[in-house]
Amino acid sequence: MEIIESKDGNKVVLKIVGRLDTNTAPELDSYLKANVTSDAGMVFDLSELDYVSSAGLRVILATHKVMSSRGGLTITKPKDTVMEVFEATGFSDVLDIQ
Amino acid sequence: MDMDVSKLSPMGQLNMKNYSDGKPLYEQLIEMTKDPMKYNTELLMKIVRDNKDTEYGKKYGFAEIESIEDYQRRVPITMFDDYAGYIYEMTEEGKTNLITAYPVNHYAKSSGTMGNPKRIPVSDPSLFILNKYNYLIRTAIQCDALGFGWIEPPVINLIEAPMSTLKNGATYGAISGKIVAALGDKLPLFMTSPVEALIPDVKTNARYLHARFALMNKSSTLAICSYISMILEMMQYIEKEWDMLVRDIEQGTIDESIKMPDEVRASLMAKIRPMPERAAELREIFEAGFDEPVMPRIWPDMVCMVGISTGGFSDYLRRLKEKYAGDGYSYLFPGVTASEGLFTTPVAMDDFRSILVPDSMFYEFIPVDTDDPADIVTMDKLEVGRVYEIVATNLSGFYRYRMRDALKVVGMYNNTPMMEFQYRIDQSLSMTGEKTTEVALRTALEMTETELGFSVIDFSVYPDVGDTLRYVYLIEPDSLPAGLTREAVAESLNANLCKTNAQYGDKIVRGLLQRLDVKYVQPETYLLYRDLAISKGTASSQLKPPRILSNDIQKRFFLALLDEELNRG
Repeated sequence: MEIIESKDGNKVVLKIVGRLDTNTAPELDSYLKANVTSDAGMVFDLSELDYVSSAGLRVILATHKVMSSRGGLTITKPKDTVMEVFEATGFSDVLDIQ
Repeated sequence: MDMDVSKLSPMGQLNMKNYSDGKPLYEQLIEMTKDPMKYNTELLMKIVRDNKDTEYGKKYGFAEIESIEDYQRRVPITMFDDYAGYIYEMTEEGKTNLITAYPVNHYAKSSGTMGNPKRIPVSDPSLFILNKYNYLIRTAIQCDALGFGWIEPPVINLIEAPMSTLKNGATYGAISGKIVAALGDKLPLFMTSPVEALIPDVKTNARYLHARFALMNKSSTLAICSYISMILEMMQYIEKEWDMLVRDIEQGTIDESIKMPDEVRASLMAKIRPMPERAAELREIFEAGFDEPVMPRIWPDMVCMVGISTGGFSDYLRRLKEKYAGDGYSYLFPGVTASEGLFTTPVAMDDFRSILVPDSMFYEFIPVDTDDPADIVTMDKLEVGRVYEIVATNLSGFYRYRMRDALKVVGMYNNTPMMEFQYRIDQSLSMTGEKTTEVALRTALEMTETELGFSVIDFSVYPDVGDTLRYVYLIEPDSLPAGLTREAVAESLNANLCKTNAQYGDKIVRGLLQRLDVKYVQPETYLLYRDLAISKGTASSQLKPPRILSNDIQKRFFLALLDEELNRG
């Protein structure tokens, strides 16, 4: 998995590339802890994310919770396979997905 | 007992007061057990008399009721939908005297799946009964069994009390949290967890806070929770994250990875101080590993744990004892309480059985093997060994209400039935009349785990009603021995399920059901299920494991998270 950080105005944009699974989810968690202190919201660009597992969903959910009072978390451009997981698990009702 | 109560801590004083109040109530309870039907009948007549002028009471002629037979003749057996309209008027329009004359200042949020929870009225008299049995009488039982050495330190309490307020001004939340919430600002005097974890904001990592503050308090003697799985989960969290927890305790920090709103963090940081000595003790314990139970070393004075451990939770107790607790603790198993009221109470420590409480509600029972309301009986007609569904007339406006919980009569205490929760009736599988309960499903899996040498984090089952009828077990494995195929697990599990439910076995032999299938779900799936439910507002103390997937929402959730690699094997 690769994490590519950029900015969109004041928002932090993280492009997550590859797979977000049991092995890589802790990496994303650690990255968020060490590098991101945004109060203006965050975007996860999932256009190159091929796969998300339960462990990855937990990191996304936890980030959504903490960012809800810090400008929100937006998910953009998930692939069809990832969107299917969001819909089937009810995450599409909880997350802001664009 | 010679003790200067004024010299005790606030927790000690509270426990002594609860003991003083609870001991005579305990003795009254024991007296009631000699002729429970007398007290239960008196309670029914009082409920009928007090509620005769409610809308419901007038509709069913409560004023003319003079006997149990009159009551059964006039008042129908009910389900929740019979009250939904009244409850709407109570909560949204503030109407009173509809189903109950007793004041209702709280509504319990019923636990459910991922659907809409129900609002269950809880009257002030019902809360009084809950307090009487859950605190006063329980404290008397604990003190009589354990002495008074345990009463002083703050309790490790994992029962959270998130509350909201309804339009009519009543509070709304899990009933287990209501009594915790009543302590208000005094909570920190009695419990290790800070207010920020006991009444948590949905964005706060309460799991971290419970574990951290429990670890800080070496002197804790008692741990309480709604379900014993909560203590197991806390210990699993400690095993996984001890390095961070100990570092935070040592330095007086909260790790940046722990999610919580900024104002919550600031509030907690104002209360936290570095504890290097305690951290050093803990580090030494955890560096030695978790091969031996660590709880006796973390909390050397702990003597007792309180939490539901029957039915679907018995496996969690076994795992807690094997891995973390050992065999040195006493346990108090709280009996059966639902949002609708308290049904049973323990009378002794370390006994899964609990007795029907004659002054909590009026009981009727339908045998689950007939499931026929015509077979309904009162508590004096119960048969030991038989399983029944409770039909309750409570203190909060529910009359002859089918609870959909199955309890087994496991003995008698004086003349009062002793009960053990078995399963939720709507949580059983029956595709061809075989009626497989949670107990049968769980026991079969435990047998298979032992036979094949693997262990399971959690599991669920759903009925596959495709071209062939069969059960599908969804399993999140903890460990799988190399070379163990999914096919072998399915074969073993099917054979064991035939033993735990003979009717299932019969349907398999006759070809009416096909051999079950097993699918593995990804690691952390059950934690995700729990996290998602909590983020949607379910109190952690109300979350029950989704054993039987009863709707498509649950099924889609788990099927979306199958472990492709494991399922190839």
